[in-house]
Amino acid sequence: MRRTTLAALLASLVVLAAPAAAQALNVYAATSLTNVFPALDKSPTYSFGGSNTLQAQIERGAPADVFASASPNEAQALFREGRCTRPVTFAINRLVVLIPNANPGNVTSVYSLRSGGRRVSIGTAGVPIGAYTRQLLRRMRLSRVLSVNRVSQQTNVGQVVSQVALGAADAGFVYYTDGLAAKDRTRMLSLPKWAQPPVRYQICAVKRPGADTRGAAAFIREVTSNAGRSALKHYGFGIPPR
Amino acid sequence: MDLTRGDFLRLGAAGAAAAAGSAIGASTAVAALPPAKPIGDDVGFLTFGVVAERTALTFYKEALTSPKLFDAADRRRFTQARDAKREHVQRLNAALGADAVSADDYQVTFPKATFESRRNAVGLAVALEKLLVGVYVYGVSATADIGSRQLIGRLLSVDSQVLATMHDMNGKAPIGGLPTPLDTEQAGDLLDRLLTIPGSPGGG
Repeated sequence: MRRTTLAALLASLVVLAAPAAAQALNVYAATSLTNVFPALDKSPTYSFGGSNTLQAQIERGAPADVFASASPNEAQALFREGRCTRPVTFAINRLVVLIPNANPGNVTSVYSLRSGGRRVSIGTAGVPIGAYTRQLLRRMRLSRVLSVNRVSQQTNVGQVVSQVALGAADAGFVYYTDGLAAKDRTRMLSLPKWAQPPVRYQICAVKRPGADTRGAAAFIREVTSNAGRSALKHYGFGIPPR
Repeated sequence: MDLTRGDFLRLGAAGAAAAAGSAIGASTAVAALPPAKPIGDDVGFLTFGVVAERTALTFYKEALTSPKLFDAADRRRFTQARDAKREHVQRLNAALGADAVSADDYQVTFPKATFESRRNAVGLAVALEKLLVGVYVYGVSATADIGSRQLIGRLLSVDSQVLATMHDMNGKAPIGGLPTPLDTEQAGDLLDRLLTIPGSPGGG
């Protein structure tokens, strides 16, 4: 009888343990990492979105193990709140103007947008791409671009890319890597280096009850390893010095 | 761009303040400015200023490590210019606050021939100072916040002296009248040729 109970208990422990062991790592990452992360490692379950949205979800207890944001603000905020390990910078990007191949708005540079009357797609102020865009326009003394054109605001950079690629916008402000990924249907226009805000991606392991901290640490090591850096480069990202 | 009478008067006041000093960077002796609180696109002039001033600072630092090209008088002038640039970067970044530009954000690379001759080097210094003076002349009339405008006026007065000094070193006659105002669009194209963003993708 005692042996039977012990066997049942062991069996139930195995059953309880099995799903946990098999459960994939949950990686919450900025939309602009949609292509590179799965190419680097297929095994995690990825949730891509605006970094600010993902941050809010983690603050509400979402089951994330790793968080990778497109600006330091979101990861650093979680770190300050004690919700993730100290973030590390793992990738660099820059902003470009994206236009459809057909260029119906006749946009030849960012300065074309000064004259107004065009459809411009940008990120909302809370999402990193939107904050970077506004900062860049202020630096270039071009904030009026947002008042003289028909501006639509998107909650993540993927939606801005889609709008331009589908011809629903004459121009959009996106990351260079997004422009590369959509090069079959769009073209990129450079923006001045002197006005570029520093676009830094940061990654950290989420601290919460039940988080897969070992898996998270391994994933972060993978992203920052030589192989990870090569993958990021392959997808057009810049790499911070070691 | 047209300068109004008020702009001229402001420039005149800035120039007089600068003339009160005997060396480049003497503006520190003038009365304290109201704090700069840039409004909206005022940030553009200040940001351009930081990046261009830091580029010039890098130039003067490198020039001072090329002793064969320059005599003691040249080096004294470069030292004064370097110190003025350093102060300008600090002042501009203080005004920018959260929008301050870090030294790590850009890397400055000068054309290969820059330090091959004194003439090339001083020529580049003149070009950089012209950019700064041109943008500041525009900035004095186009900045909304009075503290930012006065800061730009102060920097303009000092950089006008630096420009005159570099012109003199280049054996050119001093510039007469107001330098041509430059928008950051025109000036930025020239500045961008000297900049790279460390680690930036796609050679940006």
